[in-house]
Amino acid sequence: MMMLIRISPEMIRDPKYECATVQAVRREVFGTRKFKDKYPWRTDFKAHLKAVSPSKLDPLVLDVVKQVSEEHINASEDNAPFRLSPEDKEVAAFAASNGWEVGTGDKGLQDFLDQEFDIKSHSALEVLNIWLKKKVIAWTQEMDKVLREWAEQREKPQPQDAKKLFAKLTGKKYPGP
Amino acid sequence: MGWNGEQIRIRAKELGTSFTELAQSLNVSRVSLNNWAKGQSPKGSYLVALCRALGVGPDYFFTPEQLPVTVPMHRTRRRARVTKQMQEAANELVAGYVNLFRKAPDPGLVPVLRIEERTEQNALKMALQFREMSGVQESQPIDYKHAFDLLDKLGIVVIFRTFPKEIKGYAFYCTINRHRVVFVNTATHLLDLIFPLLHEAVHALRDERGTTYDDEEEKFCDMVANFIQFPDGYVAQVARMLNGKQDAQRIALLRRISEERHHSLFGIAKRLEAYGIKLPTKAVGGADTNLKKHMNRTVGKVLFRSDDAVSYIEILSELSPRFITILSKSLSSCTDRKFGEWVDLDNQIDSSMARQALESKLALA
Repeated sequence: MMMLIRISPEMIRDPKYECATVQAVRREVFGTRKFKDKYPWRTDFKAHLKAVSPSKLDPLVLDVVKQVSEEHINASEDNAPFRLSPEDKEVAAFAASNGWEVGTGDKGLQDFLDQEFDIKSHSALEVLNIWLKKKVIAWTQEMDKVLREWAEQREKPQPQDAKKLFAKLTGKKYPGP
Repeated sequence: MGWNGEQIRIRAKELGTSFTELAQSLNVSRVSLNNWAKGQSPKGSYLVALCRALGVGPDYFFTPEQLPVTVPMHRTRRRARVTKQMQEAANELVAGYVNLFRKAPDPGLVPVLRIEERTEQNALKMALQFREMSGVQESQPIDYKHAFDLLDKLGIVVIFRTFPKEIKGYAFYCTINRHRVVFVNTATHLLDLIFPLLHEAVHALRDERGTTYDDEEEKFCDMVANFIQFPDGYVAQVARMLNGKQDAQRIALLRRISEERHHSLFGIAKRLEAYGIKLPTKAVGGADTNLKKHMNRTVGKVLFRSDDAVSYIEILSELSPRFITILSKSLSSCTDRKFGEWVDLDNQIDSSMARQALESKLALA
């Protein structure tokens, strides 16, 4: 989310982006010093990052997420148990309650969402490509600048396929990590 | 817990629903439903549908399993009582580590010290054995390195966590999947650290006897820990330094000694009485509080002193090598946030970097 918010500040508020965030993530962004150090501009977007209403969370789904995350094993990881934090479970439960896909680069969470709920996950660049494809946004110099800063801020490397698609959609080389 | 598919049949019968009807309402095949009933746990989305169709929560289908965890809460700060909330909070904190220890290597045979009668003589005997194990010199107080080395030799895994406010303690001992674990509160002041580590270590070894915890057991563990930390030779030495001085001078000198030797004033003040040195409790308390304010160093501040992931992992590796070994078995299968929870990092940036730092460290080893 922090990778994308400067490209599309209205990504949470404007329904055309079809994005939401949850309270647990918001708490982390605005409540921890590390996020303050890495993204000092984050307070500029505080009003833009409203968390989805708790009423959107189905309590049964949350209970199931909690239960299966403790009981089931990850078939993609040599049958290791899933190891999700309470925040991961909250994200998964909101997604499963509403049929949403999830923006995350965390493999453990991706595996859980896919195995237990057939929920697709997307990296930041994949989300950006979705917006570009739907013509919700278009390439700008500012976008290019932010993508270069992803590399400077040592954000996670993006999937190769996503980089190729970006180039195809924008006609520009992807400058990020 | 384990999946108990038989519950599907029981509940369907209660509702007067046939398996065919149930399968249709769930939009699954009869074969799939039968497989679930025979023991195959359905994936999350199907479990949600199953729960809705049968009007039950997911726990209805899982048999409660005895967690391989014991969390005896018995030691608190100052006058705090062990409450039900404290016990529940401790259980919850420990429960977050059960999956981590599922993949941990078997602890194997661990040292045990069997002493039946809780006498001062036996406490001394036990303390001597601990001191010998720690490698500390005779007549020297136990320092941080000795304390952590001792716990390592005893097969105890040390885990640093910010305790929730319900747990009013410096540290507590528990077992997880046969592993001896001591959780240390990162809010613990450095001067208060060694004694609870030793106290919990004594509990760990006496736990092998299935000892139930009570006031007498607490006092005995305190006695042993005190003898471990402050050998008679050291107490005698301090007594000689304080002899012949006025109370105010004694307190000031004891404060300086405590700062140099990394212990609070309280623990040794009580022992000095045996050498005819009785210090006013209020003055000792005041000096102890002032010293801690002056030093202003907690366990958390030491762990985070460099504020970077690599240093954090280095410090953790030094203080708790067993914990790092156990973590390494689960690195590939946990989320960043879960890793952060285990190592007490409150945000994904730090936990992601710390995880990478540990992966790099293991790759170099």
